[in-house]
Amino acid sequence: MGADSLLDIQNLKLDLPDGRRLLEGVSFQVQAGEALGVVGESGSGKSLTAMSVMGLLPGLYASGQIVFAGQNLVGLPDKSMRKLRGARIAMIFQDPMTAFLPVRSIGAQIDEQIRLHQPRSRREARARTVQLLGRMGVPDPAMAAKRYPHQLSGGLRQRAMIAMALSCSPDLLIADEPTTALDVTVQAQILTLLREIRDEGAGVMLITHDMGVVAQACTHVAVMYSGLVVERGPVRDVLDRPLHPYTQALLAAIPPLEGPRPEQLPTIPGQPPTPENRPSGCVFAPRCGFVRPDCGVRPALIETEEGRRVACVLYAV
Amino acid sequence: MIAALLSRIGQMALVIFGISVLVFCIFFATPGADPTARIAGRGASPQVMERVRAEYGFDRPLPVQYVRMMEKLFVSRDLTSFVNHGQKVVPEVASAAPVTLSLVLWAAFFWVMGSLGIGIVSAVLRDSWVDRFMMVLGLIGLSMPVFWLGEVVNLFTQSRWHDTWMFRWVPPLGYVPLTENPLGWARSLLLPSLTLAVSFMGLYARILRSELLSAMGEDSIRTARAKGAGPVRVWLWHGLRLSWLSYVSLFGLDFAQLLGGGALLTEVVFALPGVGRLTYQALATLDLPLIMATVMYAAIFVVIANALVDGIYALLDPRIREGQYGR
Amino acid sequence: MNVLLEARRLEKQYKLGGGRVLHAVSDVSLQVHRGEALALVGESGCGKSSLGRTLIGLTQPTSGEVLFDGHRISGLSDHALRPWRARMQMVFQDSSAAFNPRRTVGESLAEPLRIHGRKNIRARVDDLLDQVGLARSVADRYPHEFSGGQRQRLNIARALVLGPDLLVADEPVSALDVSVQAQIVNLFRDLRASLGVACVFISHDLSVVRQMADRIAVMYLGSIVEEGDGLEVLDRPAHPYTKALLDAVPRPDRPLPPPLKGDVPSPVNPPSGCRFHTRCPIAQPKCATDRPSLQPCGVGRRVACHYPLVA
Repeated sequence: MGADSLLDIQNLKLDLPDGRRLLEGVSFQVQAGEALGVVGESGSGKSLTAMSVMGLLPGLYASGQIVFAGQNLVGLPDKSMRKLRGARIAMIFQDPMTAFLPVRSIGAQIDEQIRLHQPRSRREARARTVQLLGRMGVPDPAMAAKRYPHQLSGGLRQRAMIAMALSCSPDLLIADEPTTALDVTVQAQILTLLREIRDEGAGVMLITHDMGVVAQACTHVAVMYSGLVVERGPVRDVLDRPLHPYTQALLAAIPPLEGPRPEQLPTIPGQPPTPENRPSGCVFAPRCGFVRPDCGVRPALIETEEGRRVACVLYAV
Repeated sequence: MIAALLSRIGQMALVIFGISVLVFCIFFATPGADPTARIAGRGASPQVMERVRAEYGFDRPLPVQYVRMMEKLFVSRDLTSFVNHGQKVVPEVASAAPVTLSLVLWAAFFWVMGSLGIGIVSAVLRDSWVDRFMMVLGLIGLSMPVFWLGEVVNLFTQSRWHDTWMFRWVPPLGYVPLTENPLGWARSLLLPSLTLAVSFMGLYARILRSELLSAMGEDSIRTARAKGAGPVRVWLWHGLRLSWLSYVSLFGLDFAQLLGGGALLTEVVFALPGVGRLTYQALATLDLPLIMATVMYAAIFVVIANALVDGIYALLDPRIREGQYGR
Repeated sequence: MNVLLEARRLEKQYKLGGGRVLHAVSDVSLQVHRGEALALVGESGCGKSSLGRTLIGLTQPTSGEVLFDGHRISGLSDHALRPWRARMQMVFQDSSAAFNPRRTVGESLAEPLRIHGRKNIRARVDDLLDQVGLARSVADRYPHEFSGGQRQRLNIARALVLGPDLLVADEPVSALDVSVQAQIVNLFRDLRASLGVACVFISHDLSVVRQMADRIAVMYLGSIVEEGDGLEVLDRPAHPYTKALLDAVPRPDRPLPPPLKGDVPSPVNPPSGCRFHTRCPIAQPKCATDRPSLQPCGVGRRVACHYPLVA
């Protein structure tokens, strides 16, 4: 691991100017052709991690390493970062309605991204835009390119957003809750699309709170809690045999869609800590059912078996 | 499309009609005041009074009086001012309009340029000392009364330092028509329009700054950055595009208001024979026909400008074009 | 069980510009029994929220009627509705907007009691906070001091203040994190058991709905396409749309079946015949012309399909 990873994040920390620490040391890798699901509840730092990779967090201090294709992005000047952004690392957002500029046509906005990174004429860029929209399954792509965001349905908008992200054939696609604002039938369409993108060889980092989405679209998963990765590994292993008590509790809290209906859903008592009162030991200890005295020391993310890591004293050797 | 245009024109006509009725009622149908005496002027002879009464139909019912007045204003255009020795009112307004138009165009040019520069620089350098300095400057500009500023400018450029190298080029107060001498036209308007523009510049810069800053928090700006757009492109191409709307609507209204006579103080101070000064004179002498004409002129301008602003709005924002604004 | 709320042939239309009409709710008839939980599910724009608001008189139906406890409440003036309002309450998705930020939550909770001239206000507020699982001391705090889950508890407390017989909850948990969502889902179950309050849940999340509701009504483009016992409907869907919805839910245990094609058609211009026929995988020629009505299908179940998946 490491040298051949497309994206290798090592011990990423993120601080506010007032000293509050938002990320406590995030580490994970994304390989080409793989999709990593980053799951966690609001405030766990999953979106912050993504924005750090994009270099889009002005006013926050990052330390640690974000190595993308052999280049450390932490501390990279904005000018060099801009060459990567949109060209080699692209991002899609949760709400394609607000993520597009409302006052310009979809096509113009995709053309813009193409022309920002590639020396193409207006006409060539538009031809590429139409081709991309068509590939994303947008009916009548030439016409759709002339439309404004509000004139398209939510599903088509998100397809256009993905088309824009893919316009310069990026190596890494970061998707921040790409289907949360969509209906389930449309979500299923978009997840299928993401799967195809990954099959074509790009690395995907999918941020979501939905375990089902992870299961459908990802090969690997990293579970975040309070600014830390507490568990990561191949999707099947983690979902079938979650190791960390938080992952277990998170999976148990999802109401089942089949089988007997439980009288009560298992819940996690209490709330996640804020950055100010984050415990110095295991961040999950105050809500954990297995808490022990040695939870007072922050457990490292250790490898328990091939490709699986967990940060919990229960698995310490 | 054509239906929408027609209905828009119909609306405009209705608004102008409403204003004309209102203005007419205020000046001519006030109970207890005889408009005949006011139109004829102080100490007019009974014969003149009688002639006025017959001409304006003041002995007939109100609707007839209204129609007479409008006919004189818009159809025969021979509404005459008795105070001012039988001067025809409509040509007077028509000859004053180009002066005001020139003044306001220049002023608008200065205040748009100035506020764009100041607003963008302040927003980009927000919370720095440059930003604070500019915003304080803007506030000062905003709070300086235009007649005072105008008098100060006159004091320096016309009397005390007029003969120094700095202000030797300043022409005497008054207006030079563009058709006579383009350079003189520009010179005669430079200082008045700058004076008029100062307060607007301050206001517009502040508005643009806050609009820009709130636009920069939008998701679509984050997308623009994620696309790899540089700061210049993000601010000017994406940010400005989002923050135009309130700037444009305010501009349209202010511009129309100034054209309609709102530049009164500036015109008086710099002795420019524009619509504002005409209004000022009409009010000073209570010259009812002239007041009627200038107010109607102003109303028409404001209504037309409103329609133009709506048109520009629709050009800037496709959501408005379809009448389904709101996310 | 007796009927608490009944809707008869409800229609709700919104006039858009240019003579276009949006059919938000079309020909919906349903019943909610005392103490029962009914869920309205469907995708955005299917009319579930419009229906919910029409049911408790927040908007007036274009035609049809709503009966509450045997009395007709549709078409009543705001004034005439007021006595009924205390007995039907709404819980909204955005839990932060329901409380006045400048007043303590205790004051906000006490206000309706004061308006309705109730006694022992403080004791009632304490009771309410107990019921929704918050400490009594929170009554002196301000709304911004609470987390999303706590605010949703307060929101429920606010709806319960006057002791309603019916709660209509519009996406009550969709803005919450999974672990908090489970707490609120449990809370609703507890409240129904202890207070016997009937609930209408409006939601797009099938697994949440399965956990919360006794009965489910699946809506598509303004109409109910299938209705019945919650577990029955979700375990053995009779309408192809219900099945498609279930299939589209991403689950850990199976790959996604091929998703439905296209988008939901516009409610301004709904398709002819069965409204689902444009996307239906088993559509027949008859579906494009004849609109199926809601027919009984098994015990306590109704389905609007010419070719239901279960007989």
